Amino acid sequence: MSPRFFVGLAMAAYALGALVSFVSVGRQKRPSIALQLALAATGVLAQTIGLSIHCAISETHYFTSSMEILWLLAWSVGVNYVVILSAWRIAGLGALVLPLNVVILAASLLAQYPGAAPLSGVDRHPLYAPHVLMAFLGYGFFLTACAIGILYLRAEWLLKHKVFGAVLRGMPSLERLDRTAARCIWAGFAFFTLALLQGGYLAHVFQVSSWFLHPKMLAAEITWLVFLVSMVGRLTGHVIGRLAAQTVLVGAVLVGLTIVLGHPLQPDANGADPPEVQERARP
Amino acid sequence: MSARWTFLALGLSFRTAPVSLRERLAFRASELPRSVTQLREQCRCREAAILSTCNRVEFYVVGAAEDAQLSQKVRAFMAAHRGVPLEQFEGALYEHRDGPAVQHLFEVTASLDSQVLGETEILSQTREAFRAASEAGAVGRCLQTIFERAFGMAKELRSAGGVGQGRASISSAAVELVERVFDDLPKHPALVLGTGEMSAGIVKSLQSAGVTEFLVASRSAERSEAFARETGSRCGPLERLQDHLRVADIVLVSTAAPHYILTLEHLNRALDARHGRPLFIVDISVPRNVDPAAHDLSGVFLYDIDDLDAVAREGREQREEAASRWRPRLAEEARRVLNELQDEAPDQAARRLIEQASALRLAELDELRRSGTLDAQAIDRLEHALAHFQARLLHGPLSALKEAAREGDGNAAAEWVERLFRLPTPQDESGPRELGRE
Repeated sequence: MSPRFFVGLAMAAYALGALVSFVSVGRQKRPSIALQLALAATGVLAQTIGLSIHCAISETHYFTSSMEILWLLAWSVGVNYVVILSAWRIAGLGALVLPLNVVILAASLLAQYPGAAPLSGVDRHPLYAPHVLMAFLGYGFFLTACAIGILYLRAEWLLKHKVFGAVLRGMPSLERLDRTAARCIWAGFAFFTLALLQGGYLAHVFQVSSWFLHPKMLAAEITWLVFLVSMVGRLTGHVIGRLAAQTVLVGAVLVGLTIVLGHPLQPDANGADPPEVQERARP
Repeated sequence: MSARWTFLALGLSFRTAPVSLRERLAFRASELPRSVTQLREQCRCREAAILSTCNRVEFYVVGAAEDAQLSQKVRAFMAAHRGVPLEQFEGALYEHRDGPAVQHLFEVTASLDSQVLGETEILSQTREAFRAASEAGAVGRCLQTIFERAFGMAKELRSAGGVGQGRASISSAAVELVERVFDDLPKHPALVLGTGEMSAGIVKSLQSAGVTEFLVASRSAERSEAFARETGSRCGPLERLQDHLRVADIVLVSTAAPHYILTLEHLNRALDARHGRPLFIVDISVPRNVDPAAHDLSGVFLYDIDDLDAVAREGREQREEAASRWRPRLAEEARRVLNELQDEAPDQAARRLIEQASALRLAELDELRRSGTLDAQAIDRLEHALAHFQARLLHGPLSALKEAAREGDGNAAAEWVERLFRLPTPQDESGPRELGRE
């Protein structure tokens, strides 16, 4: 079976999970949470199998095409969602995260399949795959923190506007949302820092000039700084609650920008490596 | 319904009688076993239980179906036992029989008939009534089955039915809102300003929800201390209000002051020192003691008595909706339980018919043996013939009973068999039996 089959399966599982989540919004009942968890876990499993098959059968660039990036992003978000839902039962999170995954996967299916191509200079390096994995796990945690931040702002709005019906039908407490978002940021920050260090090392190895001024790297560095500020602000008690949620939203926009922008070591539209990589790959 | 026994539920509740009447007819828990014994003796009923709470006094009685006076006897007992003339409370009494009576008990136990729908206390009160009746030896198979099923249904309904969901009182509504802001309640200290009765209720609800640290501040040190003793809180001077606001995450305000005790200035200063930690304020004073504009401050959640009432109303509506979903299910379960219990009538009638025929046959044979007119061999042959005769004679009625039971008409058939063969009823056999356990 092709990886696309498993991606389709994952998309169906996420879509069903999203449906259950929408239907049960505000009803913090165990069966609905368990069902959402089971569907999301099915999606993650299907995606893991699909990604594994893809990596095994293609000798393509690892995770440099749009389709691969979207697959990995959806996988990372799915993994985070499963972890968070099973650990802290954040009801309502599925209504944000699972549709997001459906959209990401649908977009991935529209993207061109990269096909088989031999490994080029950068993705032949042993640090490349861990770098990509760390970066995407970081993105996943940041995006999940963003979804929790949106829930926080919504719950706070309902409490402030005294809309009790929706508030009382099972929204998690503001404190729980804030704490869970903080945990996601801590985890995402750790992965993202590792990814940045690995990326810096790769740039050094391939002697990319001024890599830290490349638009993608600039966006990544600013993202890293925003989340650093958010974490330090939490520790000092200055960035919590609504401000923390708003900071995470800004961080999430930067995450999106970082993902969209091209990598300095990425092959061009014709599949040719950048000059630095070609230079290094020359015998 | 044709039945050889009947289940009667008779009583009055907050729906039909004022508290002034209910309190005169109520039974103390300690006197329940003795009262149940007296009830059984005076009403000559098979099984009995008395449920007496602040909201209801109810009698659950299993008696002979043909006892047309059962209800009157229970009413007379009630009047005589409590010393209240029947005419003073007869108008407030309600009465249910068989299926509706079982359903009523199910609804009472499941708190669908309570003043605060979904409250939990009634279940333990019903258990207590059942325990007292058991202690008095007044619980037989009928009450045992019906009460145990009532407890089971109440438990099922609470866990799955949503009747206990939502907050239906002001104090629980306050807890509900606190829980929407804070997760780990033991870590959040509470400040109580004012020592009214309602404050005490909310403090107790917060304590039940997990808040452990309370600081009481009031203009009167005496009242503060008394309140602190009653609620297990600490006292603090009202003059240090600003310091208290820096530490407390939950503030409950309920004073008789005609002006704002917590102004925007107080709260702005407190927020500066709180580093963004949310402050939850409940102001149940009328007139209000906290500036309503405080709710607009970032990190401040202020709710007054009307807000709490809105939450409680929502909770009540939620519970009422759940209750209306469950009532038909309880009615169906009541019918099922009653049918199960009554389906045994044909079996019992068959057993008694065989026992009576065998007893008559053996008695005749004994008489023959004593008379000495027949030798042993002839008596043996006769014994064999009579047994065969008995089996052939009873085959018809027994088959008819079985068929009737299959067709759902077992009780009526059992009743006819008993009449035709003049079978003794259980009451004839033992009078008001000792029915500790059948």
